[in-house]
Amino acid sequence: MRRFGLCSIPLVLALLLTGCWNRTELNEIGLISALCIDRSEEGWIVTYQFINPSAISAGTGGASKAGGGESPVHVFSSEGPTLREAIDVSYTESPRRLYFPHADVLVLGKEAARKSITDVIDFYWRNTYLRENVSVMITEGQASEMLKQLIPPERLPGTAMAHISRQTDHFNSNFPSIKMYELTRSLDSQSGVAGVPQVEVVGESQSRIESMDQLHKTSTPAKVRITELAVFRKDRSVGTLTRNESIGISWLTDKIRISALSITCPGSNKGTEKFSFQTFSAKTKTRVRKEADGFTMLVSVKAKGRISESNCPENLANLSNLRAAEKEIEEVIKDYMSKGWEASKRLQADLPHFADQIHRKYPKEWSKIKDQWEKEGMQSTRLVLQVNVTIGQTGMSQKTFKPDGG
Amino acid sequence: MLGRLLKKALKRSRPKNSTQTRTDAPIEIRMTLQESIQTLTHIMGNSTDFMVRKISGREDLPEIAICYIEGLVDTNLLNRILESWLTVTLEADQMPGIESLLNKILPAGPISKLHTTQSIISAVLDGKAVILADGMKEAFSASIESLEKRSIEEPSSQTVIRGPKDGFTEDISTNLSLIRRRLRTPSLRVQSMVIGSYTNTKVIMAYIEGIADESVVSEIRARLQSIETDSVLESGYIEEFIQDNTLSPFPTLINTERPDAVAGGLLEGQVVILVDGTPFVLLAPVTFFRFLHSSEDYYQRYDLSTFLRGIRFFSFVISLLLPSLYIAISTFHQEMIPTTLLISLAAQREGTPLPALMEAFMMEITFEIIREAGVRMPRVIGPAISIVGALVLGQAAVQAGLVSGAMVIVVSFTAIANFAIPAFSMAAAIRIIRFVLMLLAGTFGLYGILAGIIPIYAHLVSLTSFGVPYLSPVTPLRFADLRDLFVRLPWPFLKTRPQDMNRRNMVRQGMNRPQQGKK
Repeated sequence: MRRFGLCSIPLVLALLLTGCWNRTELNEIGLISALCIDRSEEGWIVTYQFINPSAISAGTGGASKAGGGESPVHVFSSEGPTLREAIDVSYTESPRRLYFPHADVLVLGKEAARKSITDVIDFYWRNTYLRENVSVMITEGQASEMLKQLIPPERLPGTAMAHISRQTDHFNSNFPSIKMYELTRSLDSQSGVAGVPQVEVVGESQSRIESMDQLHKTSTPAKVRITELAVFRKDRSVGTLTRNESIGISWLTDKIRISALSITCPGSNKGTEKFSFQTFSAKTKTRVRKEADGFTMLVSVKAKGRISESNCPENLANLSNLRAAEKEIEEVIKDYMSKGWEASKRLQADLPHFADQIHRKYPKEWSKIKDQWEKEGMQSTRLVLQVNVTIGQTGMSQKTFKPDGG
Repeated sequence: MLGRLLKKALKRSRPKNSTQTRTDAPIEIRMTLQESIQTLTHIMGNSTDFMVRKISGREDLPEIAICYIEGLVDTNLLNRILESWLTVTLEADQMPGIESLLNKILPAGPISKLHTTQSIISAVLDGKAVILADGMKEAFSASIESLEKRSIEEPSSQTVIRGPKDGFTEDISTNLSLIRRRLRTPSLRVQSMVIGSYTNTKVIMAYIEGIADESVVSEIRARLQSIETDSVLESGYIEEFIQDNTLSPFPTLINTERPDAVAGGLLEGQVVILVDGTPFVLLAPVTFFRFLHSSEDYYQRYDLSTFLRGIRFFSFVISLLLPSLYIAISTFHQEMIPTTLLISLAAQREGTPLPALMEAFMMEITFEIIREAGVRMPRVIGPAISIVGALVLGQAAVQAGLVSGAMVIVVSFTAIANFAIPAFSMAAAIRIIRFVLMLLAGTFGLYGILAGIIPIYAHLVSLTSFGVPYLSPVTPLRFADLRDLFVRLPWPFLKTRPQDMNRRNMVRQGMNRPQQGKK
């Protein structure tokens, strides 16, 4: 026992001698807020958006001047035949250790998206230092350009992009945001299709918002915006959907949360008078039915909402008008959905993931038509739409406001 | 390992202590007064405060002498004795016994017969007046001691908002009376002993018969009696002699200045040890959770008490872990911090020269120095220290870029949390352990913290206080006691006493059942 004790002293002391093992001080790591992957001829170009903490936090920290003049982020790229090598090459110019877990967004360049993104997905899942919950986005052209754009009033463009995607998802459900793990799951499903929001710089194309001077203006001439929904099939992008088509897909896939629809008034003769309907809950259920000449998808939507503005001649609080208005809304939703489905058929991409439902319900039939699904099966699948809309509230007023002295 | 070495050192040092025995076979009292006085003054080494007053005014009575120590006796009472000795009228021509005569003239309080010189000396040193008579082999002691003592004041170390404001003083009989006043029952047993060959300090052990566990009582009694030391100046001496585990940083006896806390402890089966000369009274056995309870918990409403207990348990954890968690997460696990927080932390760390571990150590040590200085320095300079501490070491250090602002916040919060722990001895234990955990956190991250906490927990589980498991009633689990542990249920629900201290007399409410041991 005594000998054991004596032996353990040097062992315990040796533990202390290891020093601080894989310790990294906060001022030794370079926090990355956005990552961007492009394809070059030889391989990959990885672009990083470094956070410059003292410029962001106007606090008291080490640098006492509240970083008004410094740029909140620094962007630089490195190239290599594989992603990991590209990152390793970055150490030839980065003074700090790259720290990925806090990256909010991954932007894929068009070239990369067109060729194949399987490498990227594999890289993300294989390594522990990358997080699968980053928002994935696509951009027209070189993705590295996107990282250089400042998005006022947010100081961190990467975070701002992730926020834009999230706000879109939350407050109008036009372009559902997608995270790395969702993308992987979608691509790996039977339908093998995923929609990824596409960001672009719109406005005066020459005046990119790269300079800090832009932060001093009240309106930047160019803005980052989500414009379309890029569609991935298996491993590459095959086309895009417009906003209206994307909304239809959102309705079909039960992604709608809060969304505003502009509807023609029930009593309007020329169709110029409109009211807007804002959903506050929506539920879409899809069932599949096999028929002699293919499959029929029964899509039933239940939506509840309120009227948030009205220009209608009739009083919408009146019950018969209310029912008529509901009918109109139902038609509009149906229209969105069929447009979305048409677009899916056009791109031969099963965005509503009907394939998974068929696979689940009719596994035997599915294995037969699997290979020809996009080309034939999808095209012959019929959609039966059933929409049930309830207007929960008409708001604080009933009749449309008209200053006629009455 | 270190523990074993220390234990060995202790064992080796024990016999040395015991060799220092007290002198002398008993010395008989001499027949003549002169000789007796000579012997006494010789033993007292001609100390100038040892007074011997000879009275030879009465022809019909033998010459007597009164010995006492100046300042320990009440002079008025002494004068009364002298007066009555000179004026007492004797029964008709009978030569009375000195004893009955003394009984007549001496004031209330016990009069005891002394037969040896040693007992005279100890009575005199206790503050009694000893009366020797010429031609007698006996002496008589009269309790006329009057010690200068502090009046009862509010306890300075354990204050409450609601609850009694009286605190113990340095005088043991006052302290005992404060307890007696709260427990008017004959079941309160008081046993006194004298410890310390030079200090001869009076130590009192008290418990409630029928509630306190007999085996615990006899264990404490045995441990107290086995103390061999020359001095006991404070109850801390006793605590270190009788505690279960000398090497544990965790205290296994709790000390308090509050008589109400003592009364509460006695009613739950604890044994109290009072030591003369200190207002700090020991209670044993004690479990870990009692260090986080306050006597006020039972006076305030139960909802507030429960909330405050929650705050205290939380601040216990904060005080133990916050600096090490900060070090571990900010140097090893940055992915655990939300991005915006991380950015602001990173901005503060920009340009600070030291690694987080060093920074934390520096600040913690600085705080400990300020704290220690605050206790030791003269009261008058108090404000100066707080200015220097707050402005120079806090604000200026951050502005100079030596320390990050977040670290100052972490250290201050830890310090404040430490003050929220009601028992100083437990707070002190955590203060020490915190540094070890910080070192582990700086070396191994969260893994290191866990590697530190698991042994601490194992140690706590293995620790006992006079046979009571330290972590009871959580390990071993007793559901009934959970009603008054992390929460405090309203009094009507607390029908039983905590079971860790006592098993026999559990019911404390409900008039249908007879209560044993209590009248």
